[in-house]
Amino acid sequence: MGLSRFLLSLSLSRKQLQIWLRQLEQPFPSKKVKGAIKAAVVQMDYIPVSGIGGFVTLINHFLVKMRDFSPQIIVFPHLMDTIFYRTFPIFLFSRGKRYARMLKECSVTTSRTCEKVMAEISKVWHCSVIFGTTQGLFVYNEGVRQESIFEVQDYKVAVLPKRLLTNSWKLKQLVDDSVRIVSAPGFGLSDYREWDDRFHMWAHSQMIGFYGLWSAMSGKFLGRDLKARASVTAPIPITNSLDGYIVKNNSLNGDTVLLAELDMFKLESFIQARNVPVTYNFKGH
Amino acid sequence: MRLLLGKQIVLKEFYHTDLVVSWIEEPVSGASTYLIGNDKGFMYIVANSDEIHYGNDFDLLNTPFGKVAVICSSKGIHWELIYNSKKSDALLTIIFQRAANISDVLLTKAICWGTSREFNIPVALLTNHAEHLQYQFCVPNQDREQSGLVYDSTASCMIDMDVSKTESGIFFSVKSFAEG
Repeated sequence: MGLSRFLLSLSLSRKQLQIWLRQLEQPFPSKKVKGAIKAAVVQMDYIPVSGIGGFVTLINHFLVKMRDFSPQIIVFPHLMDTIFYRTFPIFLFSRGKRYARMLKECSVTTSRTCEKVMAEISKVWHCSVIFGTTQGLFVYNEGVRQESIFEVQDYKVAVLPKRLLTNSWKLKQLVDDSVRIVSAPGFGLSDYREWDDRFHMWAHSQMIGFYGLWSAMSGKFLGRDLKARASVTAPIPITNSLDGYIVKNNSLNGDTVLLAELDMFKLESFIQARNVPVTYNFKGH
Repeated sequence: MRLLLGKQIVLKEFYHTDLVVSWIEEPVSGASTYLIGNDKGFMYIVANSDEIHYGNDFDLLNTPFGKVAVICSSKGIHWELIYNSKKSDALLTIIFQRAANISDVLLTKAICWGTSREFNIPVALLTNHAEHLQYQFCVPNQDREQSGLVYDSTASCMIDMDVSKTESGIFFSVKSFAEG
């Protein structure tokens, strides 16, 4: 297995990285708007590629769609480094216990390579890039790794795993600590159910009061058909269609880039209006 | 347990109803117990008895079915209110709300559904917007897709439920409902 890791590190070498990072799409210059944060949320159908060249080419396919928008936050899906699974020597193995062991061994290499590409995007695009790999969730801003709670234009953003999106107490604590945007890099499910999906980001955007950035990986992954719906959520009263979505993918798969300009003043007014102390003394009869 | 949310839906026949929950301007007859309220307060009446309770804001009622939390509000509903009703061992939360605009109605419905599911407590919502009533009933893991959203409409509804006590708590099972 050490040989696999070694061969993979040759395929994903520093030299290859240097060559291909220069090929990343560049944004068009744009002005920041006070009180508004521009976010781009990506949904992609899983497609394994070979090498850094394949990865950068795939990522460029999405960057091109947000070039005019110049987002301040880009959210890619979770497990982005699995896209390298067509790289030598990974593709030589067929599925089974050895394959699973090998993937685990190579995870550090694939994750690190993915991180380097994302870090470069954040530097070239002067933005924060949020994504997940087999090693966890990451945020890079201007090439520098960030903590899971960081700032964009003086507004706090939290990056959370999906399981924490159903913990109202945790989310309330974050909003009380001035977090206004919650992001979760997502991954599709073969047994996707719309209402289960809504219960995470959408429902808690309503209950607690924050902008939610929910990315997704869908499509065929290791023999399973994954479905998901990327979206940007917000409390119903501040959404145009009164449906709790700033924008969402109308389909459960496919490549999409959702672009949203988040009005932070509107969200703040909503939070302040609801921030009336309420006594909860239930009287008994 | 047979629960009627709204006003009596059939003029000719009186369905035996265990609990009627209706907005105060909609008188109903033929049930064992009545919970009639609006955003300002409520009355709880047991038929054929002197038992009447009045309340407002946030109240806990002891009924033959168990503790019921009642919330009367003209403001937005916070999820913490419903959580606190669960913490007070209520087996059902009933909310009477007067909403100033449609976005508040939709937001409250979303909050009721999300909280019902997260904290595993059925929530019945009667919301009055511009003198039009809307009814919503959420029971965790019920309905076709196990969404928990059993009923959501402007029409009254009769809901037939089994209420059973298990080791993990009280369990509501919706057998059927009829929209009127």
